[in-house]
Amino acid sequence: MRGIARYVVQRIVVGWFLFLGLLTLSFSLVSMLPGSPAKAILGEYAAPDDVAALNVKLGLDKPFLERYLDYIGGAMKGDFGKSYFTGNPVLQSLLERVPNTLVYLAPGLILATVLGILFGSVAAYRYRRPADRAFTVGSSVLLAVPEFILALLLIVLCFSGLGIAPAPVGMTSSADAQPPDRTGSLVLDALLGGYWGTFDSILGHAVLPMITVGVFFAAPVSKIVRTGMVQALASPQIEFARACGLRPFQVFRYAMAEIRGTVMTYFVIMLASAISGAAIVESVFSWPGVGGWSLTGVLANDIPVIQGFVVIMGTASLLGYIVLDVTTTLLDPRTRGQVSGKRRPSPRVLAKGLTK
Amino acid sequence: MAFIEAYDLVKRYIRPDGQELVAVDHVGFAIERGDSLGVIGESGSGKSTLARLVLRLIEPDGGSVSIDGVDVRGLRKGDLRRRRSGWQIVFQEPFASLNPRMRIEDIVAEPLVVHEPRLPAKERRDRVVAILEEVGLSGDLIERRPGHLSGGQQQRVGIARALITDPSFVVLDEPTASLDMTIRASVLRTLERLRRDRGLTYLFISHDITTVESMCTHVAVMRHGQLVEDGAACDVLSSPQAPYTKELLSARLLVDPGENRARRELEDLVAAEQQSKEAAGCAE
Amino acid sequence: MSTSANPVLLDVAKVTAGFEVRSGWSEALHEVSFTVRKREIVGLVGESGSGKSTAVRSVLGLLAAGGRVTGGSATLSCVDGPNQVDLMTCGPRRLRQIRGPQIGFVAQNPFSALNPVIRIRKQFAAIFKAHGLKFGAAERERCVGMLAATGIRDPERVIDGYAFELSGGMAQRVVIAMAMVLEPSLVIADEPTTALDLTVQRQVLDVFAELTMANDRSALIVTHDLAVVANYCDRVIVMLDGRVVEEGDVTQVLTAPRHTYTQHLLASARGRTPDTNGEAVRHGVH
Repeated sequence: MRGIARYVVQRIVVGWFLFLGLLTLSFSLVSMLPGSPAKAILGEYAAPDDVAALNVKLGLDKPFLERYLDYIGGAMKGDFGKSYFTGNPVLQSLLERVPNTLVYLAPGLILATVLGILFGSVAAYRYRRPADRAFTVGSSVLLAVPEFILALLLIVLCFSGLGIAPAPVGMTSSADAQPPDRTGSLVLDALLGGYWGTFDSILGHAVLPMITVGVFFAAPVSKIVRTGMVQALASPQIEFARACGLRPFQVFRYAMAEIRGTVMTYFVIMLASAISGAAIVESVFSWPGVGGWSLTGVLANDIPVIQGFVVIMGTASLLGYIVLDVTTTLLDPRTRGQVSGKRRPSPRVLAKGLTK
Repeated sequence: MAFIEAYDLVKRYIRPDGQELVAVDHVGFAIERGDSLGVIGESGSGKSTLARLVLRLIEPDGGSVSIDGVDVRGLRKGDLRRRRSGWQIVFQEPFASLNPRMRIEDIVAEPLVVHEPRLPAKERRDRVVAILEEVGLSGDLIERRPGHLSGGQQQRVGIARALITDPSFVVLDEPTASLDMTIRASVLRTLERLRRDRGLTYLFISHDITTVESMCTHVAVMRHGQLVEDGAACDVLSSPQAPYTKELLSARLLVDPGENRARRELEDLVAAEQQSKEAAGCAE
Repeated sequence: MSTSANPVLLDVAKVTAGFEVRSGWSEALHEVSFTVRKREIVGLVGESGSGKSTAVRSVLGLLAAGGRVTGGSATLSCVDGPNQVDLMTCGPRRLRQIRGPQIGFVAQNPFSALNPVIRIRKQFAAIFKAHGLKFGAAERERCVGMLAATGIRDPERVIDGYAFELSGGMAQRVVIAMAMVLEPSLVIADEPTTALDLTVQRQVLDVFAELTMANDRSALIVTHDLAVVANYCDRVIVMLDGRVVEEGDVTQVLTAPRHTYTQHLLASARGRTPDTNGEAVRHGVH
């Protein structure tokens, strides 16, 4: 057990250094972007003196290394700078907006995984039969549809057509009560303040973005599940399980254990790609999450905001990979044995365990 | 001095868990010209590593090899490459060792291209057809690709490729292990004929005693990287000295219809157990 | 000891099966018939592509995707009562109930057959639960006893561990224990020692044959190795290209083989290089 704890701490320490690397990367890459932020703020025809003054005010006149050290130093204290335009601290904006994004993104990704496993497995069990062929056509079509088209289709169908979804403008309706501000995040405030009506409304509004993410990512997940499952079902291990008369559901669970790692890895890849794709979904639904915020920042050359977004995206995938690494290592007894310090006995020692 | 001499060969590996594994542990042997030495061992015995060490396909950590008086370890890279036309190897998995995208002609001619680059194309093709026919294949196969051949044919292609540069020494690393029994027998027969016709010297790696018995003049037995026993095939296989060789030979199942040895022993055992159970039942 | 007077346990009659391939249908078995009697060990011999694997998988209902039995029957006399069941027509549900308590299966490679991430105890438990049995202390003891019977000295430790902690011979003993733990009357072993080292092969075969005979079971051993047949089997079935070419008492077939292919196979197995060309015999004679 102590070995396992040491392994987890080790991963976290490595993760911390990777986080520092991420900060460096986000700072240098964004600094290299073309265009002058001061000009972007003051406009194309601003006087050179004004631009120079603003550069001094923003600290952009200092040498690269100094700005870098300032940035890292600030980041260590939780200061990721302020937006050039709104003047809001980046960290505060992130804290406000990350929960808003998670409220539809997390269930969306879970939905994608569930749908993917469901359809991928059905296709694998019906390998090369009509149901599988229909699945291949359907998932290929879905893979070719851009996310925002899917979002618009859902809006047309569920809001305009059937009228079962609320208007796709933000998280709440004007009729909803505003909870008192405690954390800055509407979602958390509604939860903490017990404003269930408001929270309910948020969830209601989150349904369409969630389905958008869920269906969009279900296509690649199901393809991966199908491929893995077809292989697993043909494996000697599944054959032996069936030969022992195991029930179909037990066999399915054995097969799932085989592809578990692949699906978990894809989940983390999906998480990173879903956050970067959040800009599109949030624009379509006017959702006040990190995606829309970062899109505004990018269009305005608002460097601290862009850096903040790169950091939050990177952190999400970094955390995702650490969790993935630790869980896959601990779920598999072979690797678990290695980290917990138990040596696998050599075959020669084991051979002595035989009576014949 | 013998044609092939290996002294004190050592190869060590570091396992992922940091422990050292001595794959080949101070092994030496000699093969006279025209003889065939069979190396028998179970998985992990180091026999395949030994095969590669002899041709310096992997660098040994100690020891030396001389082939026809040439110190193999002392050769520089360029000399080693030139000498290799006379020393060839045939691998276990025929399909894995043949490039599936190449035509049979190009696969077999590959060593010629390396070692005799100035050979005219016409002559090269004639040599390919001749060697294919010598290993028991039809010359018409040159246009095909490995995927269209059976396992036995693929392995014959591998043998043809090894023989086209007219080598004097051939290492055979489990050449028939992945072949079916009947195919195995005819490939072995071809190998034996080639050895006699061409005066080849073989180092024959195998886990199968019957194969070695039918093919080799001399036998070496390996276990855990060490040479347990070696000598003339008839001596080692008929009156083994080392306990491990005895264990291997007694574990071997023979096709003796009259004997049914293992089964009879077991039937006696089962009957004895049942008797003792009944006796215990009476005593109660 | 002749087994020809024993009652028939499994009667496979004219089974034809094949696989869907890109170009249509490929027949892998053609009217294959053979029997396994009570307390009899039968060897099913053939080389790759002979259909021996397809034959036992047809019986077990375990053909790979795209595979189908198109004709014939396989009648199993069940241990519980005199009732007989045709495995080809009884349906997947009944067949599943038969696999385990009536027919056990020993796979070729224990490391790919056993689940690598589930403890051996849990894999035993899954077998019991699949057949509506509970898995309590008594059942666990039964499994431990079964493991001990296969020659594992430390069964208590092995049952709580994982397959990867075992050597090949030990792991195959675990597979044998799983195949026999529900006391099937017939055990089918598919190349049970091909993946093992020579010195271990014989030990594992001994254990397998001993447990089969001591409990009045029957066994069908699928193998390419005539030596296994010669040493452990009462009867032998020789297959070539999806057909049975010879069937009979082991001593009789091995001393006086009738079919050219059997003669050739035998000569090859004895290390004699036969006069005929192997490939020609395989592809020319039926």
